Amino acid sequence: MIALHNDEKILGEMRRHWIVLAGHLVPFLVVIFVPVALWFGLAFLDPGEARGSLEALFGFVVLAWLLTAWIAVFVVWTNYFLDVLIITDHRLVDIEQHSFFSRNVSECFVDKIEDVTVDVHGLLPTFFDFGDIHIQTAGESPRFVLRHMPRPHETKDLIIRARQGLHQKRELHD
Amino acid sequence: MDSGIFPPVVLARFEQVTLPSENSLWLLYAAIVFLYSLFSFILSYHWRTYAFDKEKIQLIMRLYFSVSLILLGGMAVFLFAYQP
Repeated sequence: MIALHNDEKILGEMRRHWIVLAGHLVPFLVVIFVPVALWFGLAFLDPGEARGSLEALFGFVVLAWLLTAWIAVFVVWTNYFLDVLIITDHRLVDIEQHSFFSRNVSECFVDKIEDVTVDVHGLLPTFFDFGDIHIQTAGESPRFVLRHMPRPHETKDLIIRARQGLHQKRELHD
Repeated sequence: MDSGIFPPVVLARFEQVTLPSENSLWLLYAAIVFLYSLFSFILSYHWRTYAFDKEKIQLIMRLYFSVSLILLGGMAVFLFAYQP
């Protein structure tokens, strides 16, 4: 969790485009359907008296397989869900969840932003409206890169508006 | 015997296979429950600690735990039915 400063408001909370998650989940769909196909294969087998035991053993193995796939799906989803960009009226907080116990939190103050570039490159990003946002900040800090963000142009506008809003607020205050 | 889609060679091979004992499967089940508990603890720790949207996480936790407990329960039922 991040702690908000006084009078700081959250303007948006964004995650990578859902197609990124879908791409990671497709192999698990295949994994889930393999034992189902094998189950139908078992119907053609005639093991005689051992049929009941074999079916019970097979059911046990299939459910163990599905449980493993179920846990793996949630591990992937957790990495996706906890990977988040928070835009406030003072700063951007980019939280990257690489895996369990591996987390990177970067902050960038909106008044330090000099340049925001959107990069939508390729067939899928164009159709599904997602892309990378490059943020150049003043000072020693490197470029801030937000990958596979949905609606990147709207996000860029939101960041620019946050910066303008902060400038106006400071001018009024001065 | 109706061999179905499997050739007689495969069926003959199947007849030679010794099915695992009940005890070894219960041991395997205990190992699976242990690993499941470990992963569930790690997952729910991450959800509770880092997620912003607490309501969504509550729903996800309910879905995750209910389906996985059904799967674990189903495995236990199959083990009770298993008579090698």
